[in-house]
Amino acid sequence: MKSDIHNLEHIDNGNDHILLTQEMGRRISMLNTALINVSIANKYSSSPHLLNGSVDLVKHYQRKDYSQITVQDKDENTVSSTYEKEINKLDPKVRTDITPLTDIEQARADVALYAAQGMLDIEDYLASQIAGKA
Amino acid sequence: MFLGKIFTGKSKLDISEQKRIAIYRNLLKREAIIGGLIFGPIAKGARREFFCLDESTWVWHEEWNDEKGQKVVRNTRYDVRPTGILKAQNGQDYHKVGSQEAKNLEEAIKTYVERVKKTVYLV
Repeated sequence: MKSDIHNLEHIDNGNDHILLTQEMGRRISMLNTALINVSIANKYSSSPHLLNGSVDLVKHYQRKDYSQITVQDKDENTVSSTYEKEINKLDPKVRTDITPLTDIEQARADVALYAAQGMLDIEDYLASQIAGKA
Repeated sequence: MFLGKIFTGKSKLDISEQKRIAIYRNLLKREAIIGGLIFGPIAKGARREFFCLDESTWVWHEEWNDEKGQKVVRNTRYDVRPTGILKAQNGQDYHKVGSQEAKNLEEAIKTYVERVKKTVYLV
């Protein structure tokens, strides 16, 4: 099926094409996030505690504040780590050289990578985390 | 069409905003048609739409005629949360879906995104 997207009704002039491009971008971005959301929901639905700490990690990651990354383990004990240790685990090329990730490390790494790649809106994610706990 | 009910607000919006809404609605309509075909052929006289309403909400609308020729409508809404997927049908209460249905939905969403990007947005 060939797309005739630029022949949509309502598209009458150059401004309309700009609107169309913007709305197409919005939909594509939304679909990418929706795909990640359903993947996270299925991966961690049986063990939501695995996501504990992931948001903190992402916030540090985004601020490039790597000196103190505090996360929680499965038993909700506070664990401090360094950026170097975490980023090594996040980098797939390095992963093979180190001890395999635990489930909780994998969960954090997934979320951090999605956010770092711009595939996950961290503010939306935080909001959904809060909504999910409510 | 079911999608029409989602955008029924009478507005005093400016023309540009009205146009933006019309374009968005048109895109969604195209996606919904492609989404409806993911689950196999649609029987004659029946209608099926499946689409992404927002980042965490999916809608499946289906209409068909029963053996007595009566029209049957089923609206299913999936709410995707980090801790699991909730489902409501025809306005009833939400309940958490089982693991198999959750996996099936994920597969359907993957197919949807792939087909829509390829055929509607050409990416």
